[in-house]
Amino acid sequence: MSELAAAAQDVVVAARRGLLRGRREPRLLALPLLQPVLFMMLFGVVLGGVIRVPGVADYAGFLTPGLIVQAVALTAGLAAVDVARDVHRGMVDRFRALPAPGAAVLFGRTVSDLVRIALTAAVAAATGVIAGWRVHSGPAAAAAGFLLVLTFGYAVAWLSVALGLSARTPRAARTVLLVCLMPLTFVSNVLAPPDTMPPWLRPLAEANPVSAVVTALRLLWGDEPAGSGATPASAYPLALVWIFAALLAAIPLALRRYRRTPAP
Amino acid sequence: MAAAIVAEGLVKRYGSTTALAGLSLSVPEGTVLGLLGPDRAGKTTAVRIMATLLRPDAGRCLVNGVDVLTHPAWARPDIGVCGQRPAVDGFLTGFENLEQLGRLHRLGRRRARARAEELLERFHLSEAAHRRVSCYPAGMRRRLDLACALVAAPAVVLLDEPTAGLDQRSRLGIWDVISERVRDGTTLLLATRHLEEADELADEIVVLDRGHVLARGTPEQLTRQIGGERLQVVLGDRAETQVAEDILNRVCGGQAVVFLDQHLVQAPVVSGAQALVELVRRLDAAGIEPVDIGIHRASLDDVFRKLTGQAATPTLADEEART
Repeated sequence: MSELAAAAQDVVVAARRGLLRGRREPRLLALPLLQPVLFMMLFGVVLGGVIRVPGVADYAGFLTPGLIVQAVALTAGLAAVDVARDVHRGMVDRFRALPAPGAAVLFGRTVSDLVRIALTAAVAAATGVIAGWRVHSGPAAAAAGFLLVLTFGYAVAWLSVALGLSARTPRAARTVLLVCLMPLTFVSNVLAPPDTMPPWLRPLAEANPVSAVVTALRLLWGDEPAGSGATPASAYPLALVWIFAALLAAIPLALRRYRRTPAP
Repeated sequence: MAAAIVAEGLVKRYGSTTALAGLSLSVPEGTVLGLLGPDRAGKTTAVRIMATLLRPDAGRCLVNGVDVLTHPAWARPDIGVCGQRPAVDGFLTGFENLEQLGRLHRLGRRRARARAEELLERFHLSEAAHRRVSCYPAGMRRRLDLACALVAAPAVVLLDEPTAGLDQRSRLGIWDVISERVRDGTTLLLATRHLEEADELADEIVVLDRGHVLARGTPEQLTRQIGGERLQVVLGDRAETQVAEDILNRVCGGQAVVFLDQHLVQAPVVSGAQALVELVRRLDAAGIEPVDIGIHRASLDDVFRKLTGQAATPTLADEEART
């Protein structure tokens, strides 16, 4: 029991480190905070007049859930660069040589990621509201939507921690991150419904886990037609399965990589 | 005296390269062992194994009586470790860095803070305590790194090239810090590629190259074995070499060597400083004004040229590595 209490303290200390880092090196958060604003300006406002999505009257409203997910994925993804930097600078070695268990240190880190994720989600949502997006469902469904965003971000954060611990250099971590994030967030239903895409691309966009999460969000928030034939009965379990599968794969992988971090 | 660190036949391979080919060593409590070797000798691998950060392919390692391979969590509170580059958070202040480590050592908030203050004072960092480490100069950063290793007052401290990347002046500063502040009764393992550093700080030296132990002994034993100090005179005039050779032979007890084309005469010497004074006096009396005069210490290059020659035949470590 006292070991558990001590581990809880370790989590708090590690989370505090992550939060202080975010506050004192705010440039790390600049990109994920700016991205939804820029995309909303570009696609929702500048191009919004010419973009016509079949069955959608308000493109800014269609866009918002996707931009939230995109911003959250980028915020969580940048954890990989942070963690790779910690490996590179020998911080991971220093922490590993402490009595504090690795799980507590990593868990604390992801708690601080979760705070950053909530912040970017809020900024992205506020951008949507300014552009005219509204939640059309009740408060419970609205809250469930934001909860889904947070769990999605949390899963991406763990994947990123595992990536950061596996990368040889921080630069390599950044490259792998962008190579993964670009197709995942763009070849999806974020900007356009997959049925409007060329036949060879459509299956990829439909199978994309990001699409699954965005579809679930559109349904939860009562936004306009979420996609061809998506119903709550199929969309919610699919999104949850993706998220929990990612967590189940990423957490053990991250812990394993942590125990075997190479020399800085 | 009990041994604080015991390593027996440590072997570590990365693919086809062998980082450690059966390292065995023992460090008595309260002493300093210098692990001396060039790049890729296996120093970092050895330190990381002892610090519970890396599992060897074979061998055994006890730190403070605890087997670090079977019970790493028990061994950790007794071990302080510093890597090749200072592992400190630039976005935190010096105080916050130490406090954070104290908390992760489970000292509790109050004791972690008290310990941080104490260490900042001890390492002359009190003035910079509340400045962010990102603005610390390299030498200060290294001092903070050393302080970080001592947060839990460990019985054993492992330092991997503690002066890597520092200029000569900061290096001397760190040596002072290590011999006056870090030692303090703890057992120290110091991995270094500077013979001078090992000579200055270590009670005993193990020379390592490509995973093999080439030699071990006290600094005196090793330098005597390797050639030690030489007295050296460079003359302005070639004609003076003959007189200088005679004088050197008398001062150093024979064995003077002349390099005619460089106008250089040198001879091995036991207590260099005394002999140097004597040499200057005699040269002066003979009316010779040397261009340069000094004590030449065996460099790591000399050591390795000598030792790698000896290690051309398979050593015991090779045999151990194979089994």
